[in-house]
Amino acid sequence: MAGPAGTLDPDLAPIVVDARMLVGAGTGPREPNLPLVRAAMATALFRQLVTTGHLGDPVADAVEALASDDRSAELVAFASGLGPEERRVLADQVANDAATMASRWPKIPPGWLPRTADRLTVPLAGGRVVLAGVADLVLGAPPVDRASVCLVEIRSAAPTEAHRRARTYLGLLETLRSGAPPCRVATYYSQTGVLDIEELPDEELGRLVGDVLTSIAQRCRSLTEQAA
Amino acid sequence: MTPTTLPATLLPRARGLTDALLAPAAPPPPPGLVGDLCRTFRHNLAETMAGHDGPPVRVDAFTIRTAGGPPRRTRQPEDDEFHWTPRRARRAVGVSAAAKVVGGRVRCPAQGAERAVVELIDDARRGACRPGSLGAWLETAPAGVVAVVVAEATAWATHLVTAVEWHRVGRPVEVGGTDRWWDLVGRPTVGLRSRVDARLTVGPLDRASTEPVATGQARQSFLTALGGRPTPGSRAELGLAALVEVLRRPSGPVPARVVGWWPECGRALVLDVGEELLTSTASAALAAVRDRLGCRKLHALPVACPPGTGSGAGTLSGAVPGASSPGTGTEGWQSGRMRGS
Repeated sequence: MAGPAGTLDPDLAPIVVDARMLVGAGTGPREPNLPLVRAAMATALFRQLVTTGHLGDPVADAVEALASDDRSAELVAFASGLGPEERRVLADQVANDAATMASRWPKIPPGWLPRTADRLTVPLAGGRVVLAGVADLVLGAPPVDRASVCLVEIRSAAPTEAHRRARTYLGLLETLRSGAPPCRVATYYSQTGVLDIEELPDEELGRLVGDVLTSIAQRCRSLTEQAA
Repeated sequence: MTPTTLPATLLPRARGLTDALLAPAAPPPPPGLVGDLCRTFRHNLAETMAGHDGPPVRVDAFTIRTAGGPPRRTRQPEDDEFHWTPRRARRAVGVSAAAKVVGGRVRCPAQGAERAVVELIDDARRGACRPGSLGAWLETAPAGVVAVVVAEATAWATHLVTAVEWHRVGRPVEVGGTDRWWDLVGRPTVGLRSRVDARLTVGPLDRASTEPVATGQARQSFLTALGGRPTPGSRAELGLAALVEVLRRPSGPVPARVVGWWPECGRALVLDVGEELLTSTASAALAAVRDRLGCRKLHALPVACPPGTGSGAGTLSGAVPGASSPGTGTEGWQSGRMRGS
């Protein structure tokens, strides 16, 4: 790790590695689009459902939740600019997501310590590199002597291999953060209600560590070449 | 920054953090030194404020973190306009929720967060909140926003509740509580605000006692949970709590240590409170005040020490390396002990 990252200027902004970068889906902010807005709204509703156990007007609740977060300003602005037909499509999709969620997720017992939008940031190489991710739902207390937490990601698109890698990456972040791997990682698909669950064998985590290091090295080379 | 002292795989993390909080305290700085430090700080602060007028200047961890950032002339007006968001409310509500859990009033963080929000809204409805307060905002916030506040606070409270083995912590312990202020009254007034999540008693107390104990010379450990990850400026942010404490009561017991806990990355910074931490934090606070005043001549600013304050107190001057950029200084950072991965 100290190799490629050691060439970076420590005063510059760190290289942030997230799941998108790992699956080759680019870096930096994304241009708002309809699927992105839908995903954000589904995540907001999922959060509300886990927290309060019920959903009201899904579109209104989701828009209110997004509008309360400065970081979602672009998405909210994009949604506000949609035409009537696009709005109707989005509203139908969000209503479907909400109905599916409500039917699939019972009220989670508070004793399971459910927490949502749990940010994970792991600085490496003196902070020059930061591994970052957000678990949409974490269940269970931090590990005492063995894996004890479950991580859930929510997706509004159809399942892909990238989703599996993304949740494995979250598992890696949790391992680095808490000292033990999660006992399960899962992806919940809001469109269908399918919950894709798996355990994380050590070998898989090990492979992912190699991929992360390769990704960081590539990014370091790219930045070094740009600087030259 | 010294290397990690706890291996990343050491479990449970809460045990290591609790050990750090409750470890026997190092000898406190000599009372004379603390008194000198306080006098010098007041003197330098008064000198910094001389010739300035305007609204009160408030210095808190955020001010220290952002001092040395973009010059004020390039900041946008909205940068200084505060408005509530769920993210900004998460700490206040989350700590209140954690206090309810640790105090045995609720069983888990989610219940604590929900109750904390309900209490805030009730206070607002009874007219017990001032306009612009968190309660006033929550009272008028839509259901979707209130749900996000509860969700954010639940996450914060869960991190705080699970960070420490509370059953090992004796009494008195204070989770949450009001912010502590120290003011230098003048024109304008300067206020230093410290905010810690938990105050634990260490030292000569019997930790097994569950009875409240008179303070005496018992000393306190402060625990503060922070978002993100540690930075070189974190040291001054954490040290502010200790500085405010000694400024408020220069002849009182000096806090034993300040522990910063970053749940997002599972790391902790343990700082023993001594001369070095207090002086470097005071320098950072002065730099933050100057930054707020728009004074950009920190390095050139002569800072006189009153006679007899000693060389240690003199290090509060603007000539302290890194004092101009408390958010990026590194010299003090190296003396902190990092725990966690």
